[in-house]
Amino acid sequence: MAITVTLNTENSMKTALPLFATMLLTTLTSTSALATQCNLNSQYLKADYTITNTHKNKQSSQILTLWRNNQQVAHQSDVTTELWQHLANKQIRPIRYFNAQQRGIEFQPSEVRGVQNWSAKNQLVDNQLIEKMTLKKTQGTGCDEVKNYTYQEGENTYSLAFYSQTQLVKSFTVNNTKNQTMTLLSLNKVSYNKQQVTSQFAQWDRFQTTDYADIGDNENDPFLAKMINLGFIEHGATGFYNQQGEAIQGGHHH
Amino acid sequence: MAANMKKLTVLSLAVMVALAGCSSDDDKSDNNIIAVDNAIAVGSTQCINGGVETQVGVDTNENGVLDSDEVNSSNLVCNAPATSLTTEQLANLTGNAWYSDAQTKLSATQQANTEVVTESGKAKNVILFVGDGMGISTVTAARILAGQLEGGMGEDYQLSFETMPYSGFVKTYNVDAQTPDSAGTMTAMVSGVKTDVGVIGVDEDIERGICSTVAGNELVTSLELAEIAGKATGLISTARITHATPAATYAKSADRNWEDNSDMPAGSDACEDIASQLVNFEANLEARFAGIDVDGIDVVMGGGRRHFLPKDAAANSSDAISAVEGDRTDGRNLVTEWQATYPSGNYVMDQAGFDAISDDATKVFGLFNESHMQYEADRANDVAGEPSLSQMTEKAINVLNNNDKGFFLSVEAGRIDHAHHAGNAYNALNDTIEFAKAVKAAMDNTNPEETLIVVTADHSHVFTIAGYPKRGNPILGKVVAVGQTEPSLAADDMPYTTVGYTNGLGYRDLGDETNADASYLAAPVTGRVDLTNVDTTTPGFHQESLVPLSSETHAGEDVGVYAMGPGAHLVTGTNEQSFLFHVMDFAADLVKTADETVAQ
Repeated sequence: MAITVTLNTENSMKTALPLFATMLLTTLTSTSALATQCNLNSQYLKADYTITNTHKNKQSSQILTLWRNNQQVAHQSDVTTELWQHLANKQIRPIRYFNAQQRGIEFQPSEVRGVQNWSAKNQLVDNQLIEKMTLKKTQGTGCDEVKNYTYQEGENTYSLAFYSQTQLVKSFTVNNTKNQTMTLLSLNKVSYNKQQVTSQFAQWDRFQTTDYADIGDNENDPFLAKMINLGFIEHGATGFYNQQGEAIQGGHHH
Repeated sequence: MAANMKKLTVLSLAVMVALAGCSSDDDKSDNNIIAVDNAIAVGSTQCINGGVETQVGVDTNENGVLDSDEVNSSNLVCNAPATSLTTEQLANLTGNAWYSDAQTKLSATQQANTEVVTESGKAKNVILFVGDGMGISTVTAARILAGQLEGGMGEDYQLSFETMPYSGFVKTYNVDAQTPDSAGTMTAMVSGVKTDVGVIGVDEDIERGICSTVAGNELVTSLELAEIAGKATGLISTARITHATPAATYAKSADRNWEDNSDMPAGSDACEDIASQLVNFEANLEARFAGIDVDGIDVVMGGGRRHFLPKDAAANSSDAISAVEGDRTDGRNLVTEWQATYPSGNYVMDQAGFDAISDDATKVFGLFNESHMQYEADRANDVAGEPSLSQMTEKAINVLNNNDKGFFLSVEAGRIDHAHHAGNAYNALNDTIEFAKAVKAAMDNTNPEETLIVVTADHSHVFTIAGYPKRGNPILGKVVAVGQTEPSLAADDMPYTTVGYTNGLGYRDLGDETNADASYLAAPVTGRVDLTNVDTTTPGFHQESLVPLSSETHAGEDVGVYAMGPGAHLVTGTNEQSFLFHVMDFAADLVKTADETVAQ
């Protein structure tokens, strides 16, 4: 039986497997195996999210774009872009870009625990949290497979819908009943245009950058002087950090 | 009247009559005349040098004691000022270790003064050590920490360069700046001319950032003069070797940040970036001075590979920390260019390569990190491994010693400054201690009769040692007062640390984190933090600051300068920073010898 498999997602993730490959797969693999197959290259993607923060009756939202470029990840917001490079020795090297100024601050690979978690950068949700969560149900197949998790820790209730094949958050909610706050991360659109991704990273790479260690020696630079006098824009793009500067997903950061 | 009547004498009748000057009508009264001598203590208001007060009266109540109401007269005799001190009088001084130690130091200083070589040109070798940002408070705190790390109380410890016989102060301001930066200060030290903040190897007529203003304003440096004079030359830094301090020895640039071609603004084509100037040093110097034939800088070691490599992942080193290590957009690979120029030279980029350098090497080019080298405390975390500042110093001296005409070597501890900017005293002080070890390596591996060693800083930082901690209190700890065991509390009922910063990022507690730059994640902390349960001595603790800034700043007060060897006696008093060049020139006749070489 010849089958044409089209991987549809409600998030515009549409990629058709070549017919020949599909037929071959049909011949060689079982139906259940095919159901878990996803040939999307999620190493290169652009995913647009909305972060919605609710406190009692007040609500605010911001846009966050997750970019993946092989061993580099960027979290882009209106003002800044946090770019993370995953090194061969598993260290993470962060660069903070200021979009309007087309300038960047480079940092040494940090040993700070909790910041060294690549999955938290690459997926926006830490694998360690997912491992602690309870899988409630699985929906869809292939690239559309979504696993739904929940987790309760203290006053926080976490709910996660996760594209398991592409390791991409569909939605993530942190609800604090005591404080009547809720943070929602929801995926709006995702694309796998490698050329667009590499082009964007090349553009960031052309920004003028300064070593963090060198900022203090460059007070004559108006951009850096402003940073010296006013401070960094705290917590970067994701907004998924608590008041202590820790990523809020999971509350397990050391 | 003297308070204590310790001597009572019943005088003979004849004497009593003489003293009383009266008849013997009242035998009872005459027979009971008493004279008492009371000693007056040294320092008393009556007699500053001590003396005797003699009191005379009649013992009317016949109790054998001259009571106060029986005194008829008194006579005070004060001692004359002493014309000499007895051994007994000096015992409290001479038996005291502080006193005897100072006497020993005095003798040594006197002896050193008698041995001063006042002639110029007696220094075959010159070594300039610069602790970037190593203000006097940093030296003091590092001294205490070093002593405490060796099990002592710390305050009495001496860093290597503090044992040098001569020292003085240096005024660090730039021509256009009250509080200076490394570019202007190092230019002053190695060229003898103060200049503007942010510019390298050019005088104050430069306009920062304007390439066209460089031509005609270039200065000549002590390293260049030594090179022309035929000496071996060397350059070491734990910062990028293209950073302001090392760059000032070999480059001419309208902006300290023009470290590679991609850093330069459009319209700067007529100017050469700093990294390129390092690799082309020999050719450039020969082009500037007709007829000279130099052999280039013999030893270069530091960080900053990014400025020498093309922006191409294929040129990455094994311990690159960026996806693409090189920054150069002109396609040049300056490492391979250097290797082509010096085919017998040693290019190294890690600890193993460094260890393999033999002492008879002719040329050494070591670039151990993509950007700055590691903090000394963080060095073990380097991907490929890198040498310490003291190891590089000893290796450089061994290689440079191969030149019979001597050498000029500049050594910078570049990351003291960076740790302070990050508000992290732990790394600033530990890098200062490593800097002192590097100086010790130089002192141990050179002949003091023919080597001038100058140790100084380019500028200070807003780093303070405050409160009233007791002797031996951990210098990175909280203030514990004399006689106390618990930390003192401020007016806000919270403890506070001895060392701190006037401005900067302020408090953060990163525990065992050894990289001072890891503090970036949070914005500056304003206000006080309760440190009751915080171990402030850990590598990752960042001290509190008063004024919240994203980077702690330089300070404008004077820095110290320490010296030994021929010409060192000139290092005394308070000096303009440009004076240091002239000391080195005097000691080694750099200008004179170079001039003679050019004239030949």
